[in-house]
Amino acid sequence: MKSISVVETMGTRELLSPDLGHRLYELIRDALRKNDSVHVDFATYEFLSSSFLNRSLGQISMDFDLDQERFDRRIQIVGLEKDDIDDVRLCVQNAVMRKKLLDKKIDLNQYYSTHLAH
Amino acid sequence: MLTVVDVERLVKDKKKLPCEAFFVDTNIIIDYKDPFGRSSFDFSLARRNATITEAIDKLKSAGVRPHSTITTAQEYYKHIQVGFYKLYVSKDIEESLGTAFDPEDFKTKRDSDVDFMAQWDLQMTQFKKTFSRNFPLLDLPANVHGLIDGFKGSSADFGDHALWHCALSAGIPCVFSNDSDFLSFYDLKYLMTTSRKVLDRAKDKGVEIV
Repeated sequence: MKSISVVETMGTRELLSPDLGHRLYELIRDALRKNDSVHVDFATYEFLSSSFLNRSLGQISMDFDLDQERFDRRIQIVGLEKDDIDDVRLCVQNAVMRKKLLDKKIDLNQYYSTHLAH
Repeated sequence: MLTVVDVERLVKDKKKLPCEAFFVDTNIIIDYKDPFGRSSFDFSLARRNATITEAIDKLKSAGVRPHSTITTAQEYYKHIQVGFYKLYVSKDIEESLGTAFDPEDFKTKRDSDVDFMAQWDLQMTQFKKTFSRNFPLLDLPANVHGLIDGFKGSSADFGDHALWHCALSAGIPCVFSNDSDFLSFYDLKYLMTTSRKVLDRAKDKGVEIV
């Protein structure tokens, strides 16, 4: 099984920017194309943003059509605090919803701007 | 005298916030939590989310206390309730762009739709964490009559007014918001913001920016 050390690979303990999230997405994507599952280790991280999670794990959920059960089978997350594990679950849940909207050819930007504005 | 704090610059320059605690407005909580994962495709929100998360988490690490009020929690709950419902039902209808919030259908699904219940439960776990750990609630001020009597309705929303009233009553005259209405609240000492629009308006009004 391929293993990714997030902090080591990103070169920082601050997992905040969406660009960093996209880099992690690319690493996991490439690993999942060659392996059944991937081990993602967040050990020693300090800060974690929703945009980092959405651009990495959320995008992976969408591209590989992973609901929570399939996600857990293919991506083993370790090293996260419990609160942040809940954030990952919500990230996957939201990705599944977005995937359903996209499958119906709904423009996400238009939909969210119209119905989820604040 | 109000001072506006450019939060992004404060964090970048590693400066100290001139107060020990602050209250957060609902718009900051929505951008911080991103409860529907919009930052995955909305690059503007993604940048705001990263900036706000960095600011709040680093300020907390430095011992600064972020707080919220019951009115903010109510506004945020409504945002989640309506948004989650609309997203959930969108999978079952053909023309999702016409979805409206149906409170009765929401209750029905919340009580009997197993899939809905499981997903709503996760949203509520996050909601409770938001107001217990991320931004702990402070009690409403004892002077609730003052809260109502002082509300004019012409210069700000009631939620903003209540937040300002709670902040002053708690002796924490510092609010983190990206709403320029707070520039007109007298007695507020610090308005923290990441909004370029708010910073430009403050500059136009001659408000000190640090």
